[in-house]
Amino acid sequence: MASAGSGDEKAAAAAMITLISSDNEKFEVTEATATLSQTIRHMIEDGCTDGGVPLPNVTSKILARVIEYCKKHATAAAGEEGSSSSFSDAAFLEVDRAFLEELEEFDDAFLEVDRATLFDLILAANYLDIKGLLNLTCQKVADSVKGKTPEQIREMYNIVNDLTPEEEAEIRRETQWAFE
Amino acid sequence: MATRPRSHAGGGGGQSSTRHHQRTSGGGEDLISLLPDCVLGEIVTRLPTRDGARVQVLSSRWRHAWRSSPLNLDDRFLLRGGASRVLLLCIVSHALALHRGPGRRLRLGDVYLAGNSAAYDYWLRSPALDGLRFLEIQPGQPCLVDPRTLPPLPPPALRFAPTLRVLRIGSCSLPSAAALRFPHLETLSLCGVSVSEDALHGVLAGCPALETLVLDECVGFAQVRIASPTIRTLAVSVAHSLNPMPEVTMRQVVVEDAPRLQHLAPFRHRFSGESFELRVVSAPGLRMLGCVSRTISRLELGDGATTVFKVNSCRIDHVQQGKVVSQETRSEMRAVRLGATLGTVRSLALEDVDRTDVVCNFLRCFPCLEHLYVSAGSCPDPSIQAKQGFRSGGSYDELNPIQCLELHLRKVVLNGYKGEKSDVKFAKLFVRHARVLELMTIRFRTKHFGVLSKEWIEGQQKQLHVKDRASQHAKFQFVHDFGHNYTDLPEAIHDSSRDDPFSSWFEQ
Repeated sequence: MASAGSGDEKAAAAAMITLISSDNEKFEVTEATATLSQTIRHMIEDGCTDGGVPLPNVTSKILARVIEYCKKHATAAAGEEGSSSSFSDAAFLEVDRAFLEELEEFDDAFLEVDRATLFDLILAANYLDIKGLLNLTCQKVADSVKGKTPEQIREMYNIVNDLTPEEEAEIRRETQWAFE
Repeated sequence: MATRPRSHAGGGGGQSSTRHHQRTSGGGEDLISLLPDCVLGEIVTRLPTRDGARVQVLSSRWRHAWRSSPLNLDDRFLLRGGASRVLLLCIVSHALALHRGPGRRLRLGDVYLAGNSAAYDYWLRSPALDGLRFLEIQPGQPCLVDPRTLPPLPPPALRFAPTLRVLRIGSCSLPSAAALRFPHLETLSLCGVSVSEDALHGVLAGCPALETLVLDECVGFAQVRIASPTIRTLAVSVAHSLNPMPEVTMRQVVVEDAPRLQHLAPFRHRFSGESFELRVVSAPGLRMLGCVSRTISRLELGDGATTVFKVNSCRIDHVQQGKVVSQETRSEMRAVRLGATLGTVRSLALEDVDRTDVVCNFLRCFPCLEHLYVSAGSCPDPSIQAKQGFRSGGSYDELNPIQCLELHLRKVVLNGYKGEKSDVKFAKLFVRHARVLELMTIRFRTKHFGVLSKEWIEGQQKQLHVKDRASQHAKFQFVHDFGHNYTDLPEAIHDSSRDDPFSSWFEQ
């Protein structure tokens, strides 16, 4: 992995970005890590990152996790880009494969969080516009809902049914095929 | 956390997201309903169609969640057992009429064009599908053999070209004119499709982001040339042996320049008849090759000093107690020239290659091979099938060691092992010479279901001289081989983000 990342690290060392969480904690990250967030990428492009990027919607606890995700995936992205030049290098390919597997395991482990944290991660991914993280977390929620009856879903997520019986009956009639 | 949701185009913002901030008597907070509309949409669009439509009834917050999230319409998830096809058509029409769009995914695998073409066209024009990213349709019935009777691809399907990521088309013919451009297409899969050579290459040229290409039993072209800076997976199979258009059968596949190609999977079906040539001129990142079988009449690797394997037919005498009891003509693949080696290939699958010397030639060609899968010749003729198994033709030249046997080969899987002398001799190549072997799986082909007897396994281990194996930490596994389904290979590759799709495919 060192051979794949070294050039990238050198380049990135020059450009560090400071992210400031809602509870005023500062996080130093490389530009490559930070720009996995489209929101931050745009801020960098607009030149408004001097003195740090305040993220008033993200707590330090969640930001730390988000950065953990971005760091891992930024390394993967760097590997991808570097690969065209060193593709014939067998050692590199070895790294590439091991890394993909590692990344998958990382994602699985990353999602092992309580529900409140999962939703906070979703909100942060949405706010920061980190596509991969949003996909990953939304898929996790979708998988938990799949195949469940409305009653089971309500119970699982504490959803209070505020529809009148008439409204509910109307919906069921409208899309009868979904409820049969 | 007090995150202010960001409005997304078409998402309607998150204004309504705090409306039902409620607590139930159970104490848990309804966090999911607090998510902004666009995020709720991201979750709902990942649900199968029926599950997606059902969330409307959860609460008023969810009332419009399905209709305003990108539509995911898949005809596999619309009916619940035994319902009629007519009902299926009604539901598709209904779902498309109810939904506001945009579309995310449409799969129609069980609805055919015949007798239904007006509705089919109408569906494809539906605004609910605008902006579609995944399209999977099969306008014709897959069992039709004569490609001349294939229905044309409904023209409105092509209106999604600018937004598609994945396009899978089955059983139809593609238009020959029209310069199509699919700027974001990553996966293109054509199965039983008739397309002219010019049209096919035109489509490929219009896919600057293509990563996966599957050409499964397609007709209408003789040659495919792949020159793509983005392609990673290429899977090809030749048309059915009953194809009545031999003049437009795929004869040659040339990988001219594919710097990112990792998986090259020529595969075959049970009744694949015609054979084709496979030339790999430049694929400097190739990791996985196979299944190389007699469907490939000629395999040429490298540029300049190439390595060439060719299928020849040969007569085989079956000998019992010194007497020839029967004869058989088999086609088998042999090296006719050994030049270029591919040091990036880690995983190789061979079929109909069952002689020690031929396998050795392959091993020399892939010096860094780690995983090897070999199937004993499988012949559709049942009278010959009984005599299958490995043959022990040729031997390993110990004075000229093979690099991958010395340094890299960690896993070997033998399919169709029968436990005869010739099988044992073939398998011993790896027992005696694979110095870093970790696992050898021997799949015993038998019609008798049941557990392999302990005595039999012990007998085989003795014959194989497992005790004297070159790699002392190697494990040997004997399992049943019930054969595998050839058609699953592209799926296995597609589903596999891992390096070696063969492991799940061969060892199912």
